[in-house]
Amino acid sequence: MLRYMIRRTIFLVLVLIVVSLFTFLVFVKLPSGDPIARAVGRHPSPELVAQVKKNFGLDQPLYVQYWKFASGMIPWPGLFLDKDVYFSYQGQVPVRHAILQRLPVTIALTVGAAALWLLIGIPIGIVSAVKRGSLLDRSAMIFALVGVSAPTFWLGLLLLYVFHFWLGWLPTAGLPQDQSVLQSVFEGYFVLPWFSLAITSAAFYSRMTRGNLIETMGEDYIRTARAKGLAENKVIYRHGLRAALTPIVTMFGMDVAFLLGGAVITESVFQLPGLGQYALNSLYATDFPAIMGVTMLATFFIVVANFLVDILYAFLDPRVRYT
Amino acid sequence: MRRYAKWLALVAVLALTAAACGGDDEGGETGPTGATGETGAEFQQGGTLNVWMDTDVTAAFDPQKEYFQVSFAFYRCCLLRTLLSYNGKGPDEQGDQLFPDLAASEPTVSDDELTWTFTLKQGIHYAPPLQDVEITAQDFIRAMMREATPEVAAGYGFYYSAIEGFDDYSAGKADTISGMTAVDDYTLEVKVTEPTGDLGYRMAMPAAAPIPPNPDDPEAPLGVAEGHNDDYGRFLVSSGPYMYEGSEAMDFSLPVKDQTPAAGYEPNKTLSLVRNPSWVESGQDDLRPAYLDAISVEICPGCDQEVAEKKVAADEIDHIFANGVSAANARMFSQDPNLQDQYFVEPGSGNYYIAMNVAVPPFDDVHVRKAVNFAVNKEGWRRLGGGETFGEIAGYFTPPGLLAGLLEGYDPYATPNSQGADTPEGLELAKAEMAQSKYDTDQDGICDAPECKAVLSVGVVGRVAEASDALIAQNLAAIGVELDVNSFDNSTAYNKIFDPKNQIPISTFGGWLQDYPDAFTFYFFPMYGPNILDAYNTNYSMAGADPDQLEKYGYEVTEVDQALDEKIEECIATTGEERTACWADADKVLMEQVVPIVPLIFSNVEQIISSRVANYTYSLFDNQMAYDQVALASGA
Repeated sequence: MLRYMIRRTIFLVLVLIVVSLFTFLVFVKLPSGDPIARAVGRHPSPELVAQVKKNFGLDQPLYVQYWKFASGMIPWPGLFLDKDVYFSYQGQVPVRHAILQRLPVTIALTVGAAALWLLIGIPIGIVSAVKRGSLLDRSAMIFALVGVSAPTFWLGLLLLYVFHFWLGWLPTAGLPQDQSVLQSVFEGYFVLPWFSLAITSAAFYSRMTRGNLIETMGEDYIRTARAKGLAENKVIYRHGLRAALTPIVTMFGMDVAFLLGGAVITESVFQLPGLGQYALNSLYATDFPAIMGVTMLATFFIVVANFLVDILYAFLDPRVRYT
Repeated sequence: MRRYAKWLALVAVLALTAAACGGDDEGGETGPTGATGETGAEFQQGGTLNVWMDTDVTAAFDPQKEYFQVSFAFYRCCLLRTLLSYNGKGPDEQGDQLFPDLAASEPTVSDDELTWTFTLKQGIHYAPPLQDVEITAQDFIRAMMREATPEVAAGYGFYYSAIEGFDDYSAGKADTISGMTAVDDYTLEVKVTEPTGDLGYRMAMPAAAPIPPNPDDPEAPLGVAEGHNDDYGRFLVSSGPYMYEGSEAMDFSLPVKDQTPAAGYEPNKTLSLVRNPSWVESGQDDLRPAYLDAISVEICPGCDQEVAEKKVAADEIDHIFANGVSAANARMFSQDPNLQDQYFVEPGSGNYYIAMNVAVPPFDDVHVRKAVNFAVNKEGWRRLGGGETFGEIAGYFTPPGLLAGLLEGYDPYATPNSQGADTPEGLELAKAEMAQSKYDTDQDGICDAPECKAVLSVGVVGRVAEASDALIAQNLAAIGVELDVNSFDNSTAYNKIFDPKNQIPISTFGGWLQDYPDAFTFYFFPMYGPNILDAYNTNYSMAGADPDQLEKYGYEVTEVDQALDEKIEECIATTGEERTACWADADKVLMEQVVPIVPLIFSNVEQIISSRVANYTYSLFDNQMAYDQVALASGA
């Protein structure tokens, strides 16, 4: 297990390096925007342009620019995303500071939505698989079809207009500035974003659960379990579901990690100051340090989630062993 | 219950009457009257205005770096006072005029027009934590020194090059700006190298707002901004009626790296402004009634603006600080009887135009350029952009507000209903002009030279922009100019036209906005030959380029008309009405002789507000609702 973890840690570092290189090439080397243009105004002297380039470090050779970003990721002697390197062109603050400001919003959004889509998607999938062909199954699959087909931005707007602007049951878009994220959670500001984000995923998860469970229930060991006289509930939940959930755990880990990198559309519709919104604005503003910072953080989340999921596999599926 | 109904009705009537009179039983206080001395209604003092912005400022509110209308608006209304400033009102209420702000009176100008003397008001102090520091003449010199400091990379130092010694200081050749002298604490003398009629406007820009000394380090040349080349905006010490919330906690006695910015501004997230107690104690000011207690701004880059507009309709936010209103919600606000009073279309201070490169065939021929002016269907272009609310159709270049209406009705290329070649008369006029061109060899009004085939046109992507480009291409095709329309995202499109070496023949997304209410800002950059730059050039037409420039950028055309340059130089030295008339004449030279553009519209600005806003005022200087004039409705 220790060797496995060391191997995965090295892999994590390698992935971060490769992603940082690609991000650098795509957003810094081949950008469609120009951060200098934003900073110099509309009649810049050559001296001013040169000074801004120098201030942004864009006067350095490309490998030096890349090395600055790459070395800024090493959490030594400072922290991850060194504040001198990852310093926002636009906000003129350390990127780390901006990320830490927004991370609680994204975590609240992700955790709530993830819990919701699991609570909706998996039971529906189980019921559909167990009651295959029934009215319940058909209704669930219609929900799944509609859920998967509904674009998040449309669903978000629909929920907002119906439950806030029309019925007035739930709070509006945005978060009150004078209270913490946790307070906003308790006051229901995240309910609509959670549902908006969760419905599509819940639909997808219900289909996955149903398919996997139906497939698993046809396995030999399930027949054996039944032949041994195990109660049907135990057959389903202890033997069937456990195996059926393994690929779902993988997907769940990746989905959560992906959302932790920022749920751009949901944050945009519901005006949540999270990482997705920050990433989007950084792109608009061609704010290279911020783009690099958010991308690296999102990559970090995904790689770590992948790692955790692999470990979780061993508990869910006894056949998996780490050497 | 019925027997109380009469009493309830009476109470309601009394309450309504009180509200109509502007009184507020709970608040009690009322603010001063109109800012420029006109009699005006009294409004409720207090309350918090909730604002939503879809983009943050560009340099985190650093006054020397910000070159952005949004930041200019916040500085003027709320954060920074300057020697002279504006009253935050519209064109009919002297919104384009300068008034003394930190200056006690209008500046005096020497007979040779080279020395300007400003006398400061006394007893005006900065916001906390520097509430004990009085604003003095040296503070304005400090601001200019910061503007000239290369490491700061300030945004518009060129406006101050006219000040004697400014460039030398910037180049490191001098320790001070020789042309700026603090005669005493309350007298500032500014010497310019040549008559500069609009120096007052330049000194009203945020970069010229005073920077306080650091009481703990009086020798620091840049005062409290010393060491904050990258982030002074977050440590901004206010002189206006508002300041960042938490400003009082800033500690300039600490080493720079240990200083903590005010909590009230989180870039790209929130801006929380609260009343500056020093402003109240200094006796407020004559321009800003500043009724509100606080302004809370949610900065939401990339967020859905239509949702925010719905929130305005629902009174959840009071104003959106953005460019325009979505078409759907503009319709809702303009047509719903309950919302109509909350929707405004204001004259902007900008224009849209098509830029033709006068050094690239076929646009090197003035007759082709004039023919294009006749051919373009401006009304159709406006309709595609949103109709009348989008702006007034332009017959010339400078927004009319800057020319005191001197060119009203002027349009040398008028066609029926401004529909250009889409009307038979317009087409005939365009053809008649084209027939005089060297590119129309058979003089039938249709360009037949190869130079008119596949003419590269640069535009921007987007449904409206691309439809507009298609309309222009169709109009030009009617006179034989066949455009090869290329649409790019904004940044890419600008990068293409910014570089004069690219020799882009025609670009369709030109637009210009005033920096201050003087036509100078419309000519000196986009139309003045000597200001053509190697990079980030905004003279897309190459108007006034000299032969050396043309050679340098690889043009085959060796000479272009420079008449406009001479006119611009003539206007720069003038002042007052003479200056306005001069710019009007310059516009005629531009439109009739040089013809580097097709003016399309003078843009409007749409504004929506919540029903909580009681005193909506539009500021012509920054083209936004003036937060210093706004009051909240009684009970809001």
